[in-house]
Amino acid sequence: MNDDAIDLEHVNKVRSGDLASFQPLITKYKDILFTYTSTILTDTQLAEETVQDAFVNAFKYLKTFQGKSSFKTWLIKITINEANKKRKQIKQHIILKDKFNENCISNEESQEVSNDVEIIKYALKLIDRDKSLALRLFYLDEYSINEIAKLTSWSIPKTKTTLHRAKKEIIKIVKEIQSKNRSNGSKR
Amino acid sequence: MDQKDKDILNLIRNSKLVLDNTDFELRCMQVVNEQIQLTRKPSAYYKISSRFYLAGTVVCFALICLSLIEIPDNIMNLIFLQSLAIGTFCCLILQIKQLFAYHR
Repeated sequence: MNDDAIDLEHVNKVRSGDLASFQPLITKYKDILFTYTSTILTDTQLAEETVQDAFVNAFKYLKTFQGKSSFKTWLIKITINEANKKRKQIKQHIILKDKFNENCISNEESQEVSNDVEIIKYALKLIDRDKSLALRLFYLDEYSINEIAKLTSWSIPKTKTTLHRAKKEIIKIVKEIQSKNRSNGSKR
Repeated sequence: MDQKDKDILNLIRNSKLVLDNTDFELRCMQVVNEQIQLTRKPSAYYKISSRFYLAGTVVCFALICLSLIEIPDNIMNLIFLQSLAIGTFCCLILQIKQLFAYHR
């Protein structure tokens, strides 16, 4: 039985009144949803609250889930909407780092992010949130351009441009950090 | 884009974050439970509406009784009184509805 079928089974159980079947869905998707909310919102606590709200909304509107897309995609769409709503509500000061500034990575910070996975996580924090979201949707969950456009409510040209720029930017940042790490290592 | 660039981009596949909160699931289920309770029990809005409905019925019943004992010359006054009462009643309901919409 594949993932979608297992999810659908849980969804049907919840619909028929078995509330406990909702918990495995929370366990399964909390991390990935948290990844997306953390990408859109900078505050970790707010990102966590948003995941919770997304699950509650998903539960509330579970009857409207028609199964046209997978449950995971439906859940991600709810989460992205919820996070964008929160982002608008709090009117956070969004610092767009479209052009990467060398000074924003101090030597101390780059020493902390020594392994490749930490470097990529750090770099994803540095770039603009839309770009970071596009990259994660494309590589983490392997969504196509069309699917990303649907999930984010962007147009297809915007999605393509955002993704293209994001790739270039993240490569530049990662190389920057890696070269700094190398020069720090050789100094020692 | 060379192989090294592709390797960098492939690292994003490992960039999943972990929600490091042990009681998250329990808390989430608790909120979902509360949501169910909220939809199951009659909300305060319906309680108040039903009270108004009863009050309205009493007012209408009183007006009907009045119309029975009133002399025909005063029938216009009665209609005016009725529309005034119904209007006030509708206004009150709208106000309460707005109040609840605000607090929701």
